[in-house]
Amino acid sequence: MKPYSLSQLDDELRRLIPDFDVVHSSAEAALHVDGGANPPHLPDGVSEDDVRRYLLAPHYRGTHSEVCHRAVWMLHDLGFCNDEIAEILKDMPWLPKRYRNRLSTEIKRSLSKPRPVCCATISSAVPLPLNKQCAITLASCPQLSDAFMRTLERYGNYAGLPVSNKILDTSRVIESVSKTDTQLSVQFPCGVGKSTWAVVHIATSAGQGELYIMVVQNRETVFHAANQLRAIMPPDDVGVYVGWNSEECVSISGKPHDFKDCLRDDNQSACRTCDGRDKCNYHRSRSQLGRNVVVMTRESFLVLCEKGCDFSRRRIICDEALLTFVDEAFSADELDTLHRLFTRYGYDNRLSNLLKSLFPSLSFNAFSGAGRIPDGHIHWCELSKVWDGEIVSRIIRFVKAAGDSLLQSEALVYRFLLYFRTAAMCGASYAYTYDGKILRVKKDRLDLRNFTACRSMMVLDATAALSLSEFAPTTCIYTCPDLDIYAKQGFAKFYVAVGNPTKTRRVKNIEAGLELMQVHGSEIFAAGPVMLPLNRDCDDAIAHVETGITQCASRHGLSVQIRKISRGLMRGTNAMRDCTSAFMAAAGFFTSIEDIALHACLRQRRDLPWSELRNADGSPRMHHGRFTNSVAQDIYMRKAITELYQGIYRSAIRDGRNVSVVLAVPDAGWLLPLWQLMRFTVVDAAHANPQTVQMFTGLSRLVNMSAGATVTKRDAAACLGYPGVDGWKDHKDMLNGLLAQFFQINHHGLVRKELS
Amino acid sequence: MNTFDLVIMVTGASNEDYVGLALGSAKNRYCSRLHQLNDDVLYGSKILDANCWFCGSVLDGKGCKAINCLWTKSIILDVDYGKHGHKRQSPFPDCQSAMDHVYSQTLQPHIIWHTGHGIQLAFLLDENISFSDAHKTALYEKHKRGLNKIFRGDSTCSREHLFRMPCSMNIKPGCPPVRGEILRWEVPQ
Repeated sequence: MKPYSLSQLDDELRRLIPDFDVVHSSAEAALHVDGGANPPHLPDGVSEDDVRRYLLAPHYRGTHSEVCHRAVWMLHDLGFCNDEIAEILKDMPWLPKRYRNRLSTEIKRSLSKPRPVCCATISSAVPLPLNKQCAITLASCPQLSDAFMRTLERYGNYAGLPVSNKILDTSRVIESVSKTDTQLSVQFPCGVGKSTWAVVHIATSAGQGELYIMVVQNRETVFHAANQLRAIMPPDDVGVYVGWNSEECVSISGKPHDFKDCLRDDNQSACRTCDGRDKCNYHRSRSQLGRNVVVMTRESFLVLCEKGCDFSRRRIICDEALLTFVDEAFSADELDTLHRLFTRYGYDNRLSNLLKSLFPSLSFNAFSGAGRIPDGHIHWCELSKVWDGEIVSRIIRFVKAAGDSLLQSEALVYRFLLYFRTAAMCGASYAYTYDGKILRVKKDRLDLRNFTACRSMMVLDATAALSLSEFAPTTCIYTCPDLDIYAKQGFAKFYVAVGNPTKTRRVKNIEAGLELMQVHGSEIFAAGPVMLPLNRDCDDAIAHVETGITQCASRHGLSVQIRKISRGLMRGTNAMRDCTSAFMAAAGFFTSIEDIALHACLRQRRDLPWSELRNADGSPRMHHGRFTNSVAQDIYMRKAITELYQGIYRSAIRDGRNVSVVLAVPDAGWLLPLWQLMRFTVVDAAHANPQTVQMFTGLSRLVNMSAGATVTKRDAAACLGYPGVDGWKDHKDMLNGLLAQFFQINHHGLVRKELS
Repeated sequence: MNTFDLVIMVTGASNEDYVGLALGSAKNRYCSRLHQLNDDVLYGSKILDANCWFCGSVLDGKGCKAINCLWTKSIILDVDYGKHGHKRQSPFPDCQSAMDHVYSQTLQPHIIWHTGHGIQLAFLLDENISFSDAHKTALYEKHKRGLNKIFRGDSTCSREHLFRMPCSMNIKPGCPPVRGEILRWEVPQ
C-alpha cells in the first residue's frame, strides 16, 4: 500500500462524508453515522421487496426493540440511508408503537449504539435457491409429438423397457419446459426418467437438424449414453469426446505414457507413432467433436470451454449438476520455483509479472521468492483481466525452450497452466488465500450467470435448489409436484444427533448417534447392512464407531454388517444400495474453513477479511453454532445438506425401500430443505434439552401433514415444544420463520399448503 | 516489523530526532532520542513489560507539549471496543466487530495494532506534516477528524496525543493485564 497524500485523503473523505466540512468531533460524528453515502449493495438476486418480506418474518428472537435494533443495522449494512430505513421499517407490524413518531431519531440512536452481536441477515434460516423456482403442472404441458413418440418406442425396444406412464409424463413436462428458455434447470426427483428423456429428445431433435452436446457425469456414462443414442439414431451422427486416460493408454499402447506425452497439438506427441491410435477414444475425440451430437463428461465440457471452444450453434443438455468450482493449492516453495522460472528470462515482462498479477497481495522478491507473511484477507480476482490465450502460448513456448532444464518443475508448470487456463467466454474468477506456507485457490471455471456461448443450456439436477452455481437471473428452476408419485424413493426415518456435522464435534456426534442406536436398535438394525460414511483422516473414529454399532446390535440380539464408504466417493456410486440403514453422524460434512471462505469470497465477488469468518484462534467465527457471516453459513448449509442427501440416497432408499438414518444436524431448520428433496420423519433426537428434541420430532410431524390439513397455532407451538396459551405468541417470529414455507398462516390457525 | 520500526514509520523520525514516551503512567512523560529508544527496546530495559505510550509526533527535545511537536508522518486513530478499561461506552462490543468495521471501509490503514482494550490505526502519509505550516496542519487535523468519524475513533486530534506502544503491556486497574500485538503491517516497501 502506498502512503496517502493529503489531497488523496481530502478527495476520499469528501466522497465518503457528505458533510465533511462541518465535521467537528467524533462524539457528534457517532450520532451522524449514516449509510446513505453509498447506494444499497443488496446481494445479487435480492430485491428491496425480498428485504421487506424477510423483515416481515424475522427469524430471530428478542424484545421488539432488540429486533428493531438488529433490523436497523441489517439495513444499514445493506447500504440503505436513514430515510430509506425509516421508510421500510414504518410498515413493519413488529415495530414498537412508541417508535412510530420518532423513527428517524431511533434509527440514529440505534446506529450510535454498538453493533448487535449477530445481525439479522437474509437467508440465515434456510438456504434459498439461488434462482427462482417455478412449479408446473402436468396438465399444462402439451402432448408429446409423434416424432418423439416414435423415437421413444425405438428406445424402448433397444433397452427392453415398456414405455411407461412415468416416462411419458416426465418427458411431457421436460419437453414442454425445454422450449421456454435458453437457460433453465430442471429439479425432478431421481429415478423419474430425466436421462431417458435427454437421450430420446436429442435423438429426435438431432434428426431435425439441431446440434447437441450431452454432458454426463463420468467416462463410463459417456459410452453408455453414446451407445443408447447410436441405437436410436444414425450412429455416425453421434460422437464421443473424452479426455486422456492412463488405463486406456497403457492397454492400447502398452507403454506407460504420461498425459504430456500424448498432447493432441504437440508435434512430438507419442500418439503420432502409436499403432493403437485408431482404437484410442482420446485420440479419436477431436475428430468426433464436429458430429451432430457429442457426448462428453462434465470435466471435458469445462475444459473445452476453457479452451474457448465454440458452442454457439449447439444446445447443451447436462444430465448432472454442473459443478464449476475447482480447488488447487501451491506451497510457498512451489511459488518460489514458479517465480524463479517465470522471471528467468527477464525480457518477457508479461511472464515475469504473471504471479504478481495473479496474486497482487503476495510479495515476490527476485532473490528470496514469495514472501512468508500470512495474508489477513481472502482475495477475489477476475481471471480474464490477467489471463488470456497469449499467456498459455508463452508458457508453452517457454517450457519447450527450457528443454531438459525444466524437467524437475515440468509437472508443476503444467499443473499451474492447466489450472489457470481460461477463455474470455468463461468469465472465470478465482479467490485465494495465503497463510505464509500454502496458497489455496478456488476457481469458478464458468460464470453461468453470463454464459451465452451456446444456443441453449439445460441442466437436469435433482438437487438444483441447493446448487452452489448460480444461473442468469432470468433462469428458472422448474419443478413438477405431479411427478413425485413416480419418484422411486422409499421413506426415511431420521434419528438426529443435534450438532454441527464438523470434524471437531465428531466424537460428540458419534456418542449421541450410538446412544440413539441403543434406544432404537431393533428398528434400525432389523433389515440389512449399515452404511458408514467416513472422512479419510479418522482412523481412530472408524474403530470406535464399528465397535459401538456392533455392540448396539448385539445388545438387541442382532448381527450387523457394516459397509464403510469414503465421504469423497459418495456421489455416483451404487455400491451401497442394499444398505437399509446409515450412520451418518460420524462423517464431518463441514469441508474446511478455507473452503467455505474461498467460496464465500467467490459468491460475494469481493475481498473478505479473515476476521469475518475466523476467530483469532483459527476456529470458525460462529455464534450459537452458526457462522456470523450469512453467506458463509449459507454455503456451509448447502454443501452439508447436499452431501447428506447424496449420502442417504446411496442407500436402499433409491430402490424404493425404507431406510433408517442416524445423522447430525445443528438445528431443525436444516431439515426443511432436505424435506423438499425426500420424504422422512424424525423419530428421535439426542439433546440434553427436551424442548430441542421436541422441536425436531414435532417439526417432522407438522410438515408430514397432508395438504389441506389444519392445526391451531397453540397446538402447532405445543408440537414444537412451546406449550401453553402464549406458546405461539411468545415465539411467533421464530415459528413463523420455520413454518411459513409449509403452512398458510392466518389468524385462525395454520393450513398445510399443497406439496411442492 | 517491530515496535521500533513502527515508531519510525508513523513519526518519520530519524536516529537523532526526539520522540515522546511515557512509562507506567501517562503523566510520566519524557523525551528520548530515537536510537536510545531502540537500545531500550532491544537491550533489556523491559520497556514493553509495563504501560508504555509514545507520541505520534517528533519533538524538539524540550518538552512533550503541543508547542514542542515538530512534525509527524501519519494520522493515528484510537478505536475502542468492549466495556473493560473504558469510562465511556465503546462504539464496538468486541475486537472482531471493530476490525470488521475497519475492513469494511474503502480507506484502509497501513498499520493496525491491538492495545488490549482497543485498536489503533495508522494512516501513513507521503510527506512529513510540519506543524510550522499552518495550512497543512489545519488540513491534517481536519482529515484526522474525518477519519475519526468514519472509523468511529475517539477524539484524539491533538498533535501531542500519546498512543499505546505496540506490543507493550496494557495494565489497568480492575482488568487483567493484556499484551498488545500488531495486527496489520502494510507499509510501503
